[in-house]
Amino acid sequence: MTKSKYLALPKGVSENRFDAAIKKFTAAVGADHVLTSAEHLAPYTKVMMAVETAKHHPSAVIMATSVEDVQAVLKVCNEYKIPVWTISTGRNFGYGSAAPVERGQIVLDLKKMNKIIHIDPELCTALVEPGVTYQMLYDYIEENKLPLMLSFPAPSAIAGPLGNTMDRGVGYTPYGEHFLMQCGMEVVMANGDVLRTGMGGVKGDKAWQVFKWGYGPTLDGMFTQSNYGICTKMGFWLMPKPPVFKPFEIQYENEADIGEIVELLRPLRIAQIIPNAVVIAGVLWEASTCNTRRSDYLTTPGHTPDAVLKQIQKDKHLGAWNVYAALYGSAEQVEVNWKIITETIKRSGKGTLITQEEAGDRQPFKYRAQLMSGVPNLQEFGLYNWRGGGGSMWFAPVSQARGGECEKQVKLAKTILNKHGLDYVGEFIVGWRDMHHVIDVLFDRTSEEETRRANACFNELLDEFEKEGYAVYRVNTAFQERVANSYGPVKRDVERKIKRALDPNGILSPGKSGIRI
Amino acid sequence: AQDTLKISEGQRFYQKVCAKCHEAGTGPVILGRGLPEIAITTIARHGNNAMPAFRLSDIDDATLQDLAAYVSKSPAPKKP
Repeated sequence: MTKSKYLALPKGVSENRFDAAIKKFTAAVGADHVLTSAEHLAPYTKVMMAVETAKHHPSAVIMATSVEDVQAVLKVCNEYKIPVWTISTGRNFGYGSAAPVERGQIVLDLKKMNKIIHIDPELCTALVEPGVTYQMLYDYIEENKLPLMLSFPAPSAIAGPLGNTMDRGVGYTPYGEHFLMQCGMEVVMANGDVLRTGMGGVKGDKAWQVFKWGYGPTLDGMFTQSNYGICTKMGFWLMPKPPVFKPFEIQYENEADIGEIVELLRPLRIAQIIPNAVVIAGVLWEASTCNTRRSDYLTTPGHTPDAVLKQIQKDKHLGAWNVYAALYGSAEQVEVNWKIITETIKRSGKGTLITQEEAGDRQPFKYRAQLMSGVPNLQEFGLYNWRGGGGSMWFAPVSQARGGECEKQVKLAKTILNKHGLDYVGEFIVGWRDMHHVIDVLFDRTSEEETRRANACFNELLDEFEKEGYAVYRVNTAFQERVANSYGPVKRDVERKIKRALDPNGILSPGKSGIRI
Repeated sequence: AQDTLKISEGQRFYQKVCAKCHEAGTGPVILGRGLPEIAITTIARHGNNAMPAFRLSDIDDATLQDLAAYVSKSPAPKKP
């Protein structure tokens, strides 16, 4: 095999044909916006998954600066059957980062389309382009002294709302279910048409960001975690900044307390006494985010023994489970709900309440309080230092917010992780009735042997959880095909029929969520 | 051109992005160590284990070079 001048080639596309396509892309968007050199592609190859890096190498990158650019790129893709993987801010760490699902796809990078088109401080809505980051929005809100608050995932400062919502990511405020708070979308279809969802298609409309459904089928959901179109604008609702914000923590001593914690929190959450996406974080999650490394305690391979976990708990003043939640509203509202919470905990006879006054500037309380009030930080990246080496995959099964279920999932996950010499580093993100049980499968990616173990571990987690009727809400690109199977053949068949109708050449991110023509 | 009132684009990027890890104990301190500029630009583009990579669309070559010069020549940070 002769060595190509490209890092990779799209599946079934010869080098000559790709040369011709690159020429057309260059004519369409300008030479500065078409990247093919190994040096320029390097940042797009950085992945944290337990698979060979080369499996996710792109063939080229195109940086679009407008909707017209996106349309022009798709025209060439259709002509030459070039598959295109779209990223917005491309910070999908643990889920595939900025690399394509399949080797050889070109990356369409929308980071330079970064206009905050509109923020309405009265209706509390925003309309943004794909490249807008949460930090940009935060700065805009601060500079203009707008009475609004953001919700974002932990990579806040460098991630953005459009990309996060397209993968149905979550945050930690009362607006933490991001897709739920999304309103209005602009999507470039494979044939170049520009579709606006909801009220967006109505001539002269002003309600695009205020009424979600529009008329007839509501399509926004169909474009999330899929490959039916390229989102170029997205609207979403913002929470008005409350007069009082009161974050707090409840620490629990024992791992076995998880069931009781969930039973205690559920009614408070469903009744909106606690309105935000609460987290129940395990000891290692918390330890990592206050700069604790495994090597501080152990240099031996294998999982971290329970005795060491107890020692870390003691040294770092953590619980086996650490609940972070917050109250929002007027001083009176917060006081009433605080009373309900303190009395509920007292009655339960378990759990130590910690207020912001008591916690002071201590981590991880501080970063949790910031995430729950929309202040960007990257403190949680400490997770990646627990074992170091750049290996991380999110295993995130959905669970009922029921004690017995959560307890069962923790036991199952910990057993499988430990069997493969890895640790249970997990938290529950508490919805109204559901849990995103988020487990960081951390491993040293510089070790081939450990990487193989992490891969086997992830497979086994998926298999064993599936046997119990559990599936994940989101997954990294190496396992998207596998996870699509968890949801059954009928769903896959319908998805394929939609794909064929909307993207007959299969150019848009083939393989995303397992969907192909 | 070093201006005492206005910070350069590279320095701004450092403060807005890099400092969130490199001054929080997540990444190592990189100011005041006389790190070679080429090491800074290379690691930024490739990432390094736990550290993510930064693309041309995140930071262009000129700004990255400016950032590298700023980090490389910066004085040692004040001890708390």
